[in-house]
Amino acid sequence: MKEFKRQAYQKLVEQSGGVSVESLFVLLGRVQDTFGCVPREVVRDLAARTGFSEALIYGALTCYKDFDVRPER
Amino acid sequence: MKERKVLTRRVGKYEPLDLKAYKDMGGLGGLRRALDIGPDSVIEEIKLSGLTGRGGAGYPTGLKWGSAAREKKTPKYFICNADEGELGTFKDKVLLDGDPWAVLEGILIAAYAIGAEQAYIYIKGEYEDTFNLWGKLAVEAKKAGLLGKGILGPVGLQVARGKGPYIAGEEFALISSLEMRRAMSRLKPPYPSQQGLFGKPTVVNNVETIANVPVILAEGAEEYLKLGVKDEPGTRLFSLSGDVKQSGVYELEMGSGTLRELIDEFGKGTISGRPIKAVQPGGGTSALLAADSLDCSLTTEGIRKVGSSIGTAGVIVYEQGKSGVDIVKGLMEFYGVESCGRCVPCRIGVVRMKEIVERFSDGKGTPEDLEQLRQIGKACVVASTCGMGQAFPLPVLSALELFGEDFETVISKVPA
Repeated sequence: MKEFKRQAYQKLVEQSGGVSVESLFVLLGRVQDTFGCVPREVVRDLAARTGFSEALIYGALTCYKDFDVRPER
Repeated sequence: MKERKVLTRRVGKYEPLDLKAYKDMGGLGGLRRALDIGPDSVIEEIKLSGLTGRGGAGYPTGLKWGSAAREKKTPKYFICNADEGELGTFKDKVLLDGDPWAVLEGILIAAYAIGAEQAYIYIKGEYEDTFNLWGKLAVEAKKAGLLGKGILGPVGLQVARGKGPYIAGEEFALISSLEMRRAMSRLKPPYPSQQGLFGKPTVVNNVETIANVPVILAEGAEEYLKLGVKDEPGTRLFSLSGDVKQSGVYELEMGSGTLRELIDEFGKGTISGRPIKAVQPGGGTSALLAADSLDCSLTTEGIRKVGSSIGTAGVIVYEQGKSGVDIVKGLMEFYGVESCGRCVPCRIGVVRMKEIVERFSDGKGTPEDLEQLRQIGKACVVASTCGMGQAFPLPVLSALELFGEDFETVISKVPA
């Protein structure tokens, strides 16, 4: 598993032009592609910044087979 | 029968990121003309050209744009659907990789015509190289002033990558996906042009549809109408695959030949040389055609007359020696796990049909199974919400009709 690095995550946020509802799917895709999963910290952070509930984002993530919420072991 | 390269004329002729080369080959002419004549005339021009959607449903593009442009709500969104998940269809990748600037030009013209400030391109998850290319392309386009605060006013492009579901190719499921919700379809109306992404007017167009737009504007609708046949102008990209010697993507003028000619001349016949058993002319969800109905013209109408549909123009060939049961099993294994679960007929029907087909494949079918397969299939076709539920039973139902004896054989061999 690639280790989650806050700095790398911040860089992805910048690349996506900040956090917005409009770019959330694209940003989470980048997080998945970079870290190999969407870490819980990211879900929490994005929920706080977009106003979505954590459950909504988590629920959607677990519905897609190419999103992982836990790192591969 | 000859290929008529209109959309694919530049494919592979330039480095994908080289905007200058694209311009030298006549690129951006459509965009320039669009800016000259204004959004309303662009929509009129598209309506006049008779362009229809190339993603399967075949809805007139001009009407879609017109109704989104009429909406008062802002902002508006434009989405290019590059999530080609349909079985046996791989034409969009050719355009996305081989002539990406033309697709981008089409996206810009569409966004300009409907008044959208934000555009998306939703690329199939499996197309990783295409996704990476488009990420770089968006940066190049921004540098050249095509995106961002450019010549059109502000237009942004988000390059999104699909995350697996087949259903995300359906326009509402795609929209849900971009809203970071589960990819699920929903009832229409309201149509996306009224209430789409984030509840705002949205137009969703297939890649091939969008690639037609610069051609129409650069050359004018009158010129474009000279391609193809009277009611169906233009060309189609046929993805030919299955048991043929030479699979590939071939661009043909509408109505320029028959299905059999396409398979014989471009596909060079079947792999083993055995005769053809069945053909799906429009991707994995189109009804099977038997070998005797292949002399139909390659138009929407021509294929409809023999009992199938042109759909995504993904032609899948099956040769003799395969049982009808095997053909259907392969398809149901794919669709069986892809229902989004929104509506009952599809959610339950697809699984039950898959189970029954698997029973036949294991040599355990009964006459009741056969009847149930028919009934569930018909119920799904009439009662499902979106295109997937309405279409996935079609190959099964047509197989029962055309190759019923394959199923009967299984039943007759079941030990009493």
